[in-house]
Amino acid sequence: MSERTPEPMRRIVAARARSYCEYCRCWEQFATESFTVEHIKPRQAGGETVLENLAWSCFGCNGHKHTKTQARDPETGEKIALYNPRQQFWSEHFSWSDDFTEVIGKTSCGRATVEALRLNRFGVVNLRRLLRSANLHPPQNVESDK
Amino acid sequence: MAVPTEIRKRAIALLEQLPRESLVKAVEFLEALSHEALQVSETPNPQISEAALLQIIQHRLSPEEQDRLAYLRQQNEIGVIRDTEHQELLMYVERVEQQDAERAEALIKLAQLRQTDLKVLINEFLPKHSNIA
Ligand SMILES: [Zn+2]
Repeated sequence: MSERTPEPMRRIVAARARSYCEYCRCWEQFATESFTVEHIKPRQAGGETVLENLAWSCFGCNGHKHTKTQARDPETGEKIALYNPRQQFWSEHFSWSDDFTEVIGKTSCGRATVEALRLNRFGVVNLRRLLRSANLHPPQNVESDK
Repeated sequence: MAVPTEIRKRAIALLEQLPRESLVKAVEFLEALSHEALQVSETPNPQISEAALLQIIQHRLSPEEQDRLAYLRQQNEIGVIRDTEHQELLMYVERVEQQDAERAEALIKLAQLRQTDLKVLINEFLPKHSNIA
């Protein structure tokens, strides 16, 4: 259970996400800390190390997600499953604010995930603002954006 | 944003002593301050030197902190991290992400100053992730 994800698998997960965090859409290129293979259903909850249960995640989203699988929608108070990048499309659940610095939850799942993973963390918002000024944000042509 | 290292260390030491409830308040306060700092730093400063930018770009955690973070990340990844360690990991998230944003800002300014493509500087100064770590 407490084994690291095999290297070939990590490469597949990273390539599939085109090196963007599948939650906050940060680009790994600008991160000093390497991204992580995230178990969508945590290992502690019996989540397996299979491609269908893995997502490419920045160090921050991974840290905040931790062992969570559900969170409350701040609008309705209802507890709901967190966004699953393997089964759902990012653009169905999230959009960008007008200035592209913040992720907005469009659905119950989106709003709960924004809160639980703190997708608008201070450093990440600053990074988006800067990259936007250099035309490097938001990411284009990312598979799950479609 | 050249804050003397000693003051920065003192601030970090104080943060480390705080109980969890106060920590949340402290982070909110620091976020508010950092927003101000960012607005200030957005005003163009013609005197900003290449040396000052390089200092920001090359700034990293100390080797001891980097080791500690690697340990925490490993514990997290293999699913055996303790609650207190997880809180500590989240403190590192805040710091590292803010440093990454400051570094990106400095890289963009340096690219303008040197009239170079930003991608060239990224290759020069940022780690190449082999997806192994
Ligand atoms: Zn992320």
